[in-house]
Amino acid sequence: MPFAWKAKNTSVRIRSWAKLGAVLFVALSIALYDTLNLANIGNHILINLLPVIAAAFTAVMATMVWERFERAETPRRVWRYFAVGLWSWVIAELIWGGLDIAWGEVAVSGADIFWVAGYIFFGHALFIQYRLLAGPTRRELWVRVLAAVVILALLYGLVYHLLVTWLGAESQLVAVINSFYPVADVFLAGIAIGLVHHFGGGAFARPWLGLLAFAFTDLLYALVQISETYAWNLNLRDVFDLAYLGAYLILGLGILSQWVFLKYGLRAPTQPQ
Amino acid sequence: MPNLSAFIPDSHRNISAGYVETLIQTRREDLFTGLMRLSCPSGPSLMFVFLEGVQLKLYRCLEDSVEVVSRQSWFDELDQSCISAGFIRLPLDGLRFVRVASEAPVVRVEPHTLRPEGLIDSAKKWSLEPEPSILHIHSTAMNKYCLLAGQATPIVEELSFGQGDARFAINDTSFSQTLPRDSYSVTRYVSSHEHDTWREYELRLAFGPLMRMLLNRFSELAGRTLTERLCERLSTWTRTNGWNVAVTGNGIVNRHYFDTLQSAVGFYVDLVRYFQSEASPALGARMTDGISREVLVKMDPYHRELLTHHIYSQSGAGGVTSAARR
Repeated sequence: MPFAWKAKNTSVRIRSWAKLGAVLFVALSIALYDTLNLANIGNHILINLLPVIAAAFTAVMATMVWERFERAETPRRVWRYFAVGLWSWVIAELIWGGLDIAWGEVAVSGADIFWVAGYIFFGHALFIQYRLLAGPTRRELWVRVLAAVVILALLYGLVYHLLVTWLGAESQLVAVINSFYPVADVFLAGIAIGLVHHFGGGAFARPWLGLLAFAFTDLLYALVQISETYAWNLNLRDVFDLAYLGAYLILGLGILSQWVFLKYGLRAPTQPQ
Repeated sequence: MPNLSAFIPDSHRNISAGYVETLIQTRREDLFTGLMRLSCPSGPSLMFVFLEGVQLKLYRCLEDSVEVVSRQSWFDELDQSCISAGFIRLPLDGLRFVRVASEAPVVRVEPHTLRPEGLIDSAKKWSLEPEPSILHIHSTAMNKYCLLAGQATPIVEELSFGQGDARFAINDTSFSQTLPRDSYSVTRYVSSHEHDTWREYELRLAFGPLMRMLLNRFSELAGRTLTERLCERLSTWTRTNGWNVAVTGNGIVNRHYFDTLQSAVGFYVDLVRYFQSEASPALGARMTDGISREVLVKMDPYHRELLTHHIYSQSGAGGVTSAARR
């Protein structure tokens, strides 16, 4: 049937176009970072819009996956919290960009409220996903949650101590907030590794691979920012800004891959191998 | 073993071999599903099993045993003058029942006389025993056969014979609650679950819940829409391969008559393999194996062992076999 619509072809085409779009977006961003003079306000706005666009792409993808599930279904709850977390990050990117244009680099700002909120939503989404996958008993759940809280609290204390005593943070508030990100990234990366391992090789692993890439980038960024290398090293700053764009896009493409699978998924009937 | 042909009333008497052929042809055209009995003066009676007009099996019903006649010998068996023929309609489940009752070996026969309340207690006790059995419950007004699979299987299949008809039902061990207050002769034919007929029966009983739980778990992880699509794929695949089995979100609707254990196992293995090959692109091979493992662990040990031995050891689902045996 030469005129038959083929779901498989459509899904391959969508993913191919999305990958090409992402590569072009990164290439354009590199070119803009390389050529634009940031003293010009228009250029500065354009540069700060790039992460907002990338974050919005990822949030839209997550919202589309959320919408694919029915009301009573548990994955819908996972994706609802995940999408809300990503939309929080879009707002955070907007605020951060606005502040960067108005006052330049700021250590702590209103954007942090939305970044931290994003992590809380992700944490809740991953908690639901964990319960769905592992189906722990109430006792197992409490033991594991307690263990995670204790480990993360210890890690947080360690980073905070490092910031306050060794690296001389600007203020206590800066130390409190900046200690949060690496710990939250380690938490996200740990969960993402677990999910990628569980869904190994399947389309449902791809969003979590994207999350792993994002958590890794953000962890590096947080460590570089804590060590105050980021503020004065302009090249490193550009590299990290571009790495962020890439991480957002990888996460977005991973989520898109799951959406494509949910919409067009499952191969044509074949004989078992 | 029980001779079920005795309950098929004669509808045609003093008929020739040629007329028998005409009767068979008519049943083929009518897509008849049920049993046909042929009584011959010089030998044992014969019982044909028809499914939608197709003759599936021929049994030779002797005084105290029933033999399966190989397809090559059907012509020879029919080449004798029969004095009477009779028919009884049965659903597919009834035909499966007849297969077990006619082909399963009988290790020993236990006669009992029981009232309904005593029958409930005895049926519960027998259903817990390791060996399966076939019960024949009869009184002046009733003839009922029951299959008890043993190994704590809660399902009791019943086949009741009335005036020229038969009724199939699925019940549990309290089935005799509805019997009139009377004294019943109960003959218990104790069989062996090692026999292929029982194996096929037990696998069918175990495979339904297995598929239902697999699809439920897939639905929990991937959502209803994708599960419906998966079921469509599986149903298309079974239909294309000539199996009368539909797959829905609630499990499988098995309308296929498997006449050997090997053909049933072959189908189940292929279906599990196909489910895994279709679910893996979404959930990944590890997760797909994982849900099979989870589902097997939820089943009772006897059926878990049965499914592991006959299906998962052959389907090639990595890691399922060893984990399920633990």
